[in-house]
Amino acid sequence: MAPRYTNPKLLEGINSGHEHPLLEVAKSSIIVFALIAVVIVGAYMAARFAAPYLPFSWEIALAEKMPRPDLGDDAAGSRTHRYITSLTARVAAASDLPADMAITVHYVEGDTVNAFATLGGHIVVFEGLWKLVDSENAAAMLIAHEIAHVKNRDPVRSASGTLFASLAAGLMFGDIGVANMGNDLTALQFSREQETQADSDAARAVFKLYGHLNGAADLFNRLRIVAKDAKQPPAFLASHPNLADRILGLRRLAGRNGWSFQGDKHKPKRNRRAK
Amino acid sequence: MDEQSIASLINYGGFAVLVVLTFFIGSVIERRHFRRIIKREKEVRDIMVFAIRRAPTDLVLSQPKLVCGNAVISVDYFKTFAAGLRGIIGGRIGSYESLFERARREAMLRMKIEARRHGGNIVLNVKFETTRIYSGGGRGAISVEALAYGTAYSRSDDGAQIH
Repeated sequence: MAPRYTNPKLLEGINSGHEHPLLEVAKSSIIVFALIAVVIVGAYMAARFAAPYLPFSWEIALAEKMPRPDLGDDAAGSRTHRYITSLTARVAAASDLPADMAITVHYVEGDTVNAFATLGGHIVVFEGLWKLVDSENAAAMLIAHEIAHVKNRDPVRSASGTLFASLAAGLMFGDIGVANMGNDLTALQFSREQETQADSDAARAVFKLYGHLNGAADLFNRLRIVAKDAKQPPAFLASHPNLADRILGLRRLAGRNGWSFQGDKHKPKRNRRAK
Repeated sequence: MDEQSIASLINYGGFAVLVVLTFFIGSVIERRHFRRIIKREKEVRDIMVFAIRRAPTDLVLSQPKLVCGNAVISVDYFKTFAAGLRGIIGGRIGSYESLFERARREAMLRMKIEARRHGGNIVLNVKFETTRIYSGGGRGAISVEALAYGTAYSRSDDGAQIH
């Protein structure tokens, strides 16, 4: 008997239509975004971890490649700048910096109440904050704090974390957001641990320089008063919060090490301005 | 907003709008196409197709003719987007599977219609070919072509009724 030739009816849903397309997209999007997040966070953490091992000469080279941030009225060569520069040299000598680590200090005129350390050993002090400094000891504490950030490689840690995260994002999305890096360099965020470490290193340097800590907490106290009166908190406080905690931390540290707060304060030299 | 974020909003926002729009339009088109395919497949159910190469000796076949049918279907933004995500993590691309199924079934349908037009009621040695057609220098959306072809015969033995 001849075989019966048949074409069975095609069944639907075998070759396609297993999963709603939106569900498929939702599932794969979640996985892809998780992957992206892992890559960016991974790049950020790897860069932050590796940054302190970057030779300081590379940090300087990196800083020179960055777009120069617009700081306003750089009063290079002014009397105050010369004074801050010489004080910085003395504080740097007391800070046990590695031999290749050079500090460059900038003094910027204007009302901005701020000071920060950034890539390449650059420290910027603004006139607005400098006016609140009423002794050389307080100035030394401020400068020592910023030098400690440079010494601990905090700027390169923060900057390279951000840089590598944006590089990783740029590789995935096609555009690289280095354009805004220049301004980010003036507002590098350091962690609370980094600030505490910088305070403690600074106190050590100031004690080494003067043999006591009198005046070291003065600037924090002045800032607290200023912050209370000001409509807008000073820029310095945005990156250095919790003044009360820091004063307390300083006192505890001094207590542990037997560092005295008694001693002679020195008057700072500065441009006297007609009021 | 600065210039850069407006530019990227136009870039990504426009893309997102297209993806959403083409999802709705594409789903409607695809659903209607499948409905039409199923309806027309019923109309040509009496034309049987087989992949065997030689005509079996127990069938009485005459008038062999080469018949073919082809269909070109384009992907849309949504399908490309879904496939792009799949391209990163791997796995089945459902949005392309339905596209290829539509192309293949449509091509087969058209081949059967051509066979009937030539007086055939059975097609042997049926084969498929698939081609991708790029547009936009290989970066844009692609279209797929499915071609079905085979040898149509007129079958005149008593087993001509189907099931």
